[in-house]
Amino acid sequence: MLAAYQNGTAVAAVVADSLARIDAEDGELNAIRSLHDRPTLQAEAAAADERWEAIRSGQATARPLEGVPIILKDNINVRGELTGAGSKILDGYRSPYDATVTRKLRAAGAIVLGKGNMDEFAMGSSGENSAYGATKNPVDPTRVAGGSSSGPAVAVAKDWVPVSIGTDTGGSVRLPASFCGLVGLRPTYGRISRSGVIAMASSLDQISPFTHTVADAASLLEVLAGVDPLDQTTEVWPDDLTGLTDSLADDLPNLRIAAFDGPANLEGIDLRVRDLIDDLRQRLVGALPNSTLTSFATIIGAAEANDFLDLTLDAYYIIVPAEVSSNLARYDGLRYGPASTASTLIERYLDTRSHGFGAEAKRRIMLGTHVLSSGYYDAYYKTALKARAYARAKFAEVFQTVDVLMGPTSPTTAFELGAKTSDPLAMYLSDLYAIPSNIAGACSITVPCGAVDGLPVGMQLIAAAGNERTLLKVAHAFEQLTKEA
Amino acid sequence: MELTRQDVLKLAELARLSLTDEEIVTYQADLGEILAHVERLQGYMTDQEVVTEQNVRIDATELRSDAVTPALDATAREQFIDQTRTNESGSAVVPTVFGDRS
Repeated sequence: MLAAYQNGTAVAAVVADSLARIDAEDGELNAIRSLHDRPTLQAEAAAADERWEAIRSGQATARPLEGVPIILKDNINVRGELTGAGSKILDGYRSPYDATVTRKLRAAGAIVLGKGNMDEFAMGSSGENSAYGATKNPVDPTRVAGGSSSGPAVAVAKDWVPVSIGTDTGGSVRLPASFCGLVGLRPTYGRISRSGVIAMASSLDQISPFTHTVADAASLLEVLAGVDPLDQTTEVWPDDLTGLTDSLADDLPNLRIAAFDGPANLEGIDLRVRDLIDDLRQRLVGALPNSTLTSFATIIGAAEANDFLDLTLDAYYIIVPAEVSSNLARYDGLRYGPASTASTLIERYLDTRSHGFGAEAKRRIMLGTHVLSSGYYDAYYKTALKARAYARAKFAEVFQTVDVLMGPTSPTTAFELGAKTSDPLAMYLSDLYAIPSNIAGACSITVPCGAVDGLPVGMQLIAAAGNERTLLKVAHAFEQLTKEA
Repeated sequence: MELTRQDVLKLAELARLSLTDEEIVTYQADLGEILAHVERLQGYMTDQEVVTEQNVRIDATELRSDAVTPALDATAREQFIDQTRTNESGSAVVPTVFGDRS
């Protein structure tokens, strides 16, 4: 896109085209939650065009996202614009401030068009938990787009925008990316500021981009990463990612890969997905000089590997509801959102929360309340913390002898709408492969790698916390390999 | 673990949610099923130490300067207060907190 602008394409035309496509195509897909008003967007595009004139005449340099239209997940604040987190409880809320990521995107020249639909408060794996209707998969609209960042995924899959921003707490960008045939990057926790992003699970949430290419994902990571005084969980890493995008094509000598597939008899996995992943992994090893392939099970032991996915999933579905119960306690109806006419404080809380939250939100709030309550805290929450520490230790052990883990992003391709909505547990199991890297503290990416029955499949790569450079280099090499297919 | 109807009502009360009879039954089943699933974790973690360290390495020696910086600029504050249903003199008006606690 930047090349097109350099050659004279008008930003105003590109923005108008994005909006026209959304108008024409979103009716069926329900991916867009809200758009900024047209005059504002036209003014921003006009300003970008002026800037491009200066750039083309050599009077200014293009910023990384100069004039690029973008969609943000509905949980990312933009000052003066609607932010709803896919929930009725925030209906009509306009944020009085920008999220740090919003500021950074705009400082890089991006034009935010509006918000993408999402599972309510980021709780979901399919996009079906949005209070404003499910987002459909553009490849097959009878199927889910994946969640919780369903809208932003579709916006890129349909080329309404070239990149979008979601959040990934337990797969919420990687899963929809794999279902829609996109690259979805989940950086290390602490890389990108969460300030201004509506919290679900504060120790796990992370801003994550959707792109068509690994190079674009790397560019976005360079734009967004950095310590932010407004988010005390952002930190300095040994590799500050300078020159990340430029280093993608560097050699990868002696790359050590470990397969991360879970138990051989894993229930619910589509064997065709597994076979495709296996085949491509072998091909990558074959293509890279001196690379080796082992498996997670070989390194940490078969029994431990067998249980690993289960125990990280269990830990996740204890820790997340616990943090959700705390983070969603702030939604009390006293400041904004739908009006309650109840007269006492307690009645207003009950009224607002009972009508404003959907079923999954209520489920997780109550689950969280239970696992944190006296008498159950040790058995559940403390045990989950133990599991988290264990998972971290195992990943640390593994990453001493391998550079990346590779395996399926999802046990299946996109499932049909309604297939898992009556079974919360079945829905949770969609995240089986995605969760370990969040719980154990690692960075992860999904790269599209073909299809089964026409439905996209994603290859997941995982690297040690802070090692996005290796992660993206391998992902880039894999992407180049599968493109030639 | 199975939850009783009373358990669910207690959780709902703590979470400030009022549930219909139908919801109580549904959530009782859902929560019971999920808890039964995640509690197998206890079997895995019998020998594990609890680690309650921070999720990230926070360097507490680096403090910012002791200067007042506004959280929101005046316009943002106005925009925020304007959204509240009832407001007066720059504050949101809410039902009494320490009054009747029925």
